[in-house]
Amino acid sequence: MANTYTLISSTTLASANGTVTISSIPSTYSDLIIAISARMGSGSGTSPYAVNITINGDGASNYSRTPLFTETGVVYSLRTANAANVLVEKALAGPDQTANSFSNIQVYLPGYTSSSSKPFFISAGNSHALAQNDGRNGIHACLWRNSATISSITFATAGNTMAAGSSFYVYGIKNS
Amino acid sequence: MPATYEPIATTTLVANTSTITFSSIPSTYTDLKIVAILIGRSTVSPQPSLRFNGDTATNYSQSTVRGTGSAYQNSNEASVNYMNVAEGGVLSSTIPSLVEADIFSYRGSTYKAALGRFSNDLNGSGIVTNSVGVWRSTAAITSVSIFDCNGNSTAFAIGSVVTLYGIKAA
Repeated sequence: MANTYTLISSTTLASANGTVTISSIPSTYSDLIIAISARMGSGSGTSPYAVNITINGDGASNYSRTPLFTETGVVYSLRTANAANVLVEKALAGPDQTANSFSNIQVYLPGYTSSSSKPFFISAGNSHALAQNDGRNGIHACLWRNSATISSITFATAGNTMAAGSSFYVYGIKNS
Repeated sequence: MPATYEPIATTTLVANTSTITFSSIPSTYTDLKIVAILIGRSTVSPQPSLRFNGDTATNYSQSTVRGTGSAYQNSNEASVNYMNVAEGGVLSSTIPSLVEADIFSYRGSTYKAALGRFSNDLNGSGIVTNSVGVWRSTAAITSVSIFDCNGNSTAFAIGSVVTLYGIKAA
């Protein structure tokens, strides 16, 4: 039987960049898994930093999210609805935080070619920042209300950059 | 490189149903993974749950953490006759939800543990959960059923897709 967990693309930043777009995702798989190891190269404001996720360049109010996360020993849940992207707060360590430590994000996106709305799941954590008492570890139920096949996904940090060495691996999974 | 992550079976519902069962699971893997995109029915409030080898005795337990959009909750169930991987939430009839379950060492002779995740955001409602469950049986798992622990006869709607994967350690 053929291997069905296949690397579709890999991107490792050679220099700091604020946006990574994974495009031309083939429609020949059933599910997508995206494994991200990243930290900020620059940032103004308070660490750690948010990352925004948009699909197929859709900036309309088609995204929603229900996360559960822990931060400074307290557990929270919140909700966003009718949003223009999926914003994962405090997902990436800032340049002022522990050097050489990268935050981890995994996106599980099943049924990305279906003609229904797309539920997906994000696990995100930057435990290395706990030494600075501002780390965050969370799970996020996410939804993109669009019937189109997913062909591109963009990860962006508003007005800031992700550091060189940040990596984005996309795997395709076949269910038959 | 040998294949280590393989689809064992996929079911796409062509009729509303209460139970989806994968039987005759081969013993050639190390772990199992279930990925389900589930749609509910408007007249019921289904909660996806697991049973193994058709065991309906009270051999299951689970602990769940859940985010409701405004609060953190946790719960435990012991000596129940199912493993609830979506406790506290219900399926929508219009927006699909995602269930993942990782079942480790399913051929082992010790009790079987599973991790469950429920992505149930419904654009203004819904929940997210992470759960751990135990099936207190030393038997190898040969079948897995997803069913509605709320007992609705046709809980899962047409278009729901459930896949069972096998994962090999070597």
